Amino acid sequence: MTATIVVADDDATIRRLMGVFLRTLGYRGVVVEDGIQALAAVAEEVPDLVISDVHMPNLGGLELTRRLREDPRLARVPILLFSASVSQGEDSVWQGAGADGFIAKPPTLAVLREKLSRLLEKRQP
Amino acid sequence: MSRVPIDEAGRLESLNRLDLLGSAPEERFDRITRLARRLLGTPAAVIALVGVDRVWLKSALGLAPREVSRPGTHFERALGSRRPYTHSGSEPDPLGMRSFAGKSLAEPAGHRVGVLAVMDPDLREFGEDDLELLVDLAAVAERELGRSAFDRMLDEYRGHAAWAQSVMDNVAEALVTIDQEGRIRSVNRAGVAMFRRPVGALIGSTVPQMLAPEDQDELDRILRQHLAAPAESFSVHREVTALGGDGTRFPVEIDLGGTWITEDETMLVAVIRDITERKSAEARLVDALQKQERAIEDLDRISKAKSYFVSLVGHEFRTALTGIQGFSELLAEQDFDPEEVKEFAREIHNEGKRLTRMISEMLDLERMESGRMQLNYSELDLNRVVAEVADRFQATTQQHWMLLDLDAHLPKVEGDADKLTQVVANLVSNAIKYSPHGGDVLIKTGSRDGEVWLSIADHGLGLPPEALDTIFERYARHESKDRESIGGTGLGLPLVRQIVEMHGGRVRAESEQGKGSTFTFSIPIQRRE
Repeated sequence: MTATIVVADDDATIRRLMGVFLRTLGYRGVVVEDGIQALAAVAEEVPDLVISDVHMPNLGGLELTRRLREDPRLARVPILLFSASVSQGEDSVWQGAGADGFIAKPPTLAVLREKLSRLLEKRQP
Repeated sequence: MSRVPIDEAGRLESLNRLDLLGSAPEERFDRITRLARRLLGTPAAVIALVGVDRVWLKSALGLAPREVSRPGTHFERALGSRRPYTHSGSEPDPLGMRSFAGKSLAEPAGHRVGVLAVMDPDLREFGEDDLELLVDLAAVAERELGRSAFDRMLDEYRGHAAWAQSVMDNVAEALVTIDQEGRIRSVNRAGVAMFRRPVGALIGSTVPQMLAPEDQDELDRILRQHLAAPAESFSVHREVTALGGDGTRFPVEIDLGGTWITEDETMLVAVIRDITERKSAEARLVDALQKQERAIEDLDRISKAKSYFVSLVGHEFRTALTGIQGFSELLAEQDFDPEEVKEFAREIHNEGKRLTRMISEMLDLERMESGRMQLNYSELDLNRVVAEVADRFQATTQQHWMLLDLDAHLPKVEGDADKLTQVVANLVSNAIKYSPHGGDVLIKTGSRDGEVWLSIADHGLGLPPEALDTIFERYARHESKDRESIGGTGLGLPLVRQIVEMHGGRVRAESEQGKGSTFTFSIPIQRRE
């Protein structure tokens, strides 16, 4: 079964890139512009994984992570935070927010492939 | 003849104080000896002053010498007695006299210092009448001696007074003496100069009257308190504001103390110093310190802004690079259909342009700030610039509406078309960027006082008041929770300001948080050199 991954990023180019990346890696991507839209997407359908940019209007990645963690339905969904700010890549930041990993921008296909498959495997019972 | 022991030391001191020893003859004494000679019918009459071992003849009629040796003379014997002394003998004395009648002369303190004497080289007797005359004349001579003593004291007093006045007048501080009623009794020259009031206006007035209204009460209270308890010695120091006769205010320090004059009268002395210089030096010091603190704060702010800028540029560059790197990696790794290949290439190209724009903005600002960029002046229509920019941005958004309210009679201005286009584009781009929920962007133009102006108003996030001060500073892109997600290098507004100011114009921002912002710039119609 094809895994569904929600991607939230406010940059249009990055949204398009991530769409193609996920398709190339064999996943179904649901691409949204901010945290609010991400919440709407996961409410509709529980995804297999969430990738979220840290800095977004309306609702950013750190706050989105907290909200997702509060929802028992979504507690087991792995979350990857995503940022071009090096400071956000410090373990304490994404771990503190409750995320499962961090990808620095720009990401490579190889890194994305490795991180996604590891998180999705771990999730399997 | 009665002999009374003489206080020789006190006598000589009094004699010295008279300052008559060895002095020239004086008419006031000669008048007495003339009278004595005529009334007593002797050839010689003298007023002699008896020193330690010599006798000076202050006035001598019928005698040549001005001084004689003292020991054994009749003068010495006459001096020893309060009563008249007479002598007649067949043997002449060293002055060649056989008859002598003398009466000692006392100065005002009672010390006998000299003798009034009449003498005759022939033998003769002096009767009671003669001696009475001699006593009366001696009394007149004593009065003259007294006058000498008084003159001497007066001279001394005048000397002291002149000395005291000169001391008072030569000190830089104002010295003011205050009587028991609190009135100024004396003031020195420095005080007159300091308060710029005539002496007459100062004497009889009070020290509080010389001060600024807000300081009068306190000093008045201090003065009253110490005048009421004069026995206590005290010293009070105050810094107050004085009031010159010409209405000027200046800072002074007052040292007030009590000085006894007599058992029941106290005089207060105030020493007043003009401390304008010191105060302004203090103010300069405080000012310099504050400037230094501000400079340090500025440096701190710039340094923080710079590191913020570095991380911001890093973020923006990485975001652009993400597209370039990602799409090119896809193209290299996988086969895509031609349409997608084209699309990815377009993405790469756009992100490359975005990077180029950011780099040129940075370089432009750098060159403008260092004065290495010249404007390329031509006559241009700002309305056309606005229309072009608005069209260009309208094509990029469906959520925002460009509304134009342009002055149909807007004069053409001298300016750099490319740079002013950049200004309008940056402002419109900001208006769109900071109105994430869409809305109108209203652009107006107009002219006034030799300038054209342009305003761009949005209904976006707006700015808090404190941000308005720094928004045009480099690296000072304002961050807040709702704005942090919005990309930008923080160079757009500094560039706007640089370009507008290079045109001799001004730019300003008005904003209300949550309601939107209005940016307005104006530039002169005619280029100013």
